[in-house]
Amino acid sequence: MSDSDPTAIIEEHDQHLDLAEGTDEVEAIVPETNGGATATGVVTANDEAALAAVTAVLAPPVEEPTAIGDLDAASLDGLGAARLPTIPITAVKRKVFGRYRSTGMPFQVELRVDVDGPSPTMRVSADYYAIAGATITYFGSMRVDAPAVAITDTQIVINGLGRFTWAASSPRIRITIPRVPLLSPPAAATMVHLSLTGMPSATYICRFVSPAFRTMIFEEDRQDTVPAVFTSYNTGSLPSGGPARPISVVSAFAEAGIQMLTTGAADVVATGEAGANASWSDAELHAGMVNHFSRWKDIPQWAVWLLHARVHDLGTGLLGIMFDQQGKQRQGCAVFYAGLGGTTADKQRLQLFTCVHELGHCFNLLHSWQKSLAIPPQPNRPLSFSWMNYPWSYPGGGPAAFWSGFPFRFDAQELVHIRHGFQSDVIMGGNPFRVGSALEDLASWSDPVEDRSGLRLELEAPTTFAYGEPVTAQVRLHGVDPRGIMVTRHLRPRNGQVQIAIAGPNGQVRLYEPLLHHCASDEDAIVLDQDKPSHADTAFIHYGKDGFYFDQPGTYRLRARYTAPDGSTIVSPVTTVRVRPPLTAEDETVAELVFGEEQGTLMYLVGSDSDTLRSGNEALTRVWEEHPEHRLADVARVIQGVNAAREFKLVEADNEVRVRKPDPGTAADLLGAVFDVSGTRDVAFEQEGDDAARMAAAATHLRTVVGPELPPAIAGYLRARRREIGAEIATLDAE
Amino acid sequence: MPTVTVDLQDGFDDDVVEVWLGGERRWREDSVTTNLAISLAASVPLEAEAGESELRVAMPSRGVEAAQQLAVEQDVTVAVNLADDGLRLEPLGERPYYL
Repeated sequence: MSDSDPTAIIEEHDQHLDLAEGTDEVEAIVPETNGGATATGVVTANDEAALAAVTAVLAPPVEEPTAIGDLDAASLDGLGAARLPTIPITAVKRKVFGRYRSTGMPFQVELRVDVDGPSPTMRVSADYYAIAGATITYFGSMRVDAPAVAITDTQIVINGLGRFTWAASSPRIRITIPRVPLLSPPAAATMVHLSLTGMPSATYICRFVSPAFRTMIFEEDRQDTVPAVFTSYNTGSLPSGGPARPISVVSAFAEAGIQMLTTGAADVVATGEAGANASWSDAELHAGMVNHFSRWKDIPQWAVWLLHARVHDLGTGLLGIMFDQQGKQRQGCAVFYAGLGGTTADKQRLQLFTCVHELGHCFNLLHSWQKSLAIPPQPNRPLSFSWMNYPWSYPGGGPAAFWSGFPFRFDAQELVHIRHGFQSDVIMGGNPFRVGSALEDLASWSDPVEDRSGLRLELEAPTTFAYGEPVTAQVRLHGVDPRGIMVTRHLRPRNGQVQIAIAGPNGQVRLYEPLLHHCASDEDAIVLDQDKPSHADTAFIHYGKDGFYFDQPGTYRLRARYTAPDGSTIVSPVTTVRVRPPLTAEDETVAELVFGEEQGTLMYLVGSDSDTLRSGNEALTRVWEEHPEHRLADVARVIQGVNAAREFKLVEADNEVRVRKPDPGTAADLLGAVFDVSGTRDVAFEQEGDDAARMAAAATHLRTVVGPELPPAIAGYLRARRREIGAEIATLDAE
Repeated sequence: MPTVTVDLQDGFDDDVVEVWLGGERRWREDSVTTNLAISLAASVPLEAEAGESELRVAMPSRGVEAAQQLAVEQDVTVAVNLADDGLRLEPLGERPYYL
């Protein structure tokens, strides 16, 4: 398979799946009413055009689910229908539906088949995961909205055109699942991807995992002034639109095909956490979630928290709220018993309704009359009998009409979303409420769903930079495996193992690309263990292949990604830096002198005599000559001072090599105005060994000696370029 | 003294909203946005003199406004929604619930 497309294949496919061949006649079922199977005729596997037409049918309107279960013989007798012949139990086949999972590399698939079970939505969907070393990262999702389902006595075959969250090269899907006797274990599903012309591509063998389409963690806590929380309500207690049955929050979602695993670890939350007014604000609820939700993490995950609380700041009219609309959203909700409390049937019904309604928001469902506000929009359904409606605002006759028609279910389209929505649109902590995108949501920069790499990555930077100051960031890699783990010493983008993504004030996201790449050798590997638990390096990210990355005032968000020797990819949390606008007229004048392509190149290279950078050098000279006290003057001094310290060879047009000798006097004057050059030079001179050893000693000294006496941006630049600077200082003769 | 509660519900998106009661501006907010999780942007309680009074809601940022004559004898809630056809004010028989 291609390493960038789970549907593609790079080696020849062993099995010959030519749709033009084959002799099986199958009964093709075009999806119509749920649970109904209307044969439209017999289509042979040879009839490729007919198959293509079937698979191209638009998704039909999904009908409301019919009653649960099949009619049994006793019911048929009551209707006067002929008794069905007794079917030996061994001949009864297991229904084919639920969640399946593949193994292997470099991609794994979690497949959801929803065509043959109770209340099927006639969809199949899948989430794809990239396996890299010891990390598993979500890659993307797929859904087939109009599959052609062919059922024989021995198998179910599902064909369809998939919709993918990426440009899949093989978007057609063919899933084959053997039908086995009821008492046999469920059979595995084979999913083949095909090109639009029918060429078979990537194949996944997916073992059956669960009859639930998704499984998640559900944790409930209660406030200390809420002694009894909702447990269960029997829908037959009052008029309703569906079969009478006891329903809990967990069983309501089970009917929707979602398995909610309760953690069983119920916290009692003190009223004091709601503040002096003893009522909850959204911020207090979020803090409560962080404090008490045992599974809370700032990452997308299938886990949700529900707090049974007393009252919100908005008063007793607010019965519940999905309060989590910051950071990784939709991970928590709350219900309020000041308005909900009571043991009467209507109160119990309202408690159930509110709990499931708020959890529905956590699944990223909008109210029934506001579906058009979703991104992308959908038609509003104000008359929907759904958990996501308001009974008291029901336009079809108010609360009495709503309750008498409500079957205690999500509507059909909401079921499709919950079961088969693209993962980021549904998972808690995924896309924001209503859907959105951000740096954190770049598919390839997602937090891994599983990380056994033994590493943790941090990205640190000064919180603010003056306009024009070189932006640097420290990349720190932590080893969390007590046995020790080998990593690369070099943690800067120019060495290849680390990438840094930069989201600018305008929202544009760019990957920092260095001007030059430096190769690393095996000798550059180190071990992170108890003696050396972390290693850090400073990266210069101000200027590179795409020019200046921080040339606009405003807030930038940064994220680093490290590729370990075993292929694992580790992503840092997002770090925010702010570039201040020019504050004075002099700031603007100096900015005009430093923001030029040649000046940026000189900053990257820490100086050069190249004739192509002459005007850049002239501009930098003007910075420290005409604005000697400006903070950017020190940057110019470092650039030109280091260059003055080096011997520079220029190849002339006639191929003659002209050598410009070092100018230690100028170097010492310029560099000495910025930091203690002599101290670093002395350390280098005292180092035993060859020039390389002295240069390394100077570089190490620069990393440690530059400190609070220097502005953070200058100190960062010296650390980021310590090897270049140290190399020249180490050989700088004292005057 | 009865309270007129003005519930700004759906349709508000970073809007300037003014609430006038009895010819007097009683409330103004510069950035009113509906919280789609509860379909409520703001709930504005206003003490009112018993008797007839005009409630007017204006959105200067959009150039729309609407008014409703109220007979204030006891606490009353007025739901305000911004739809495609403009602002709608609807006195409610009882306090609404939100979730």
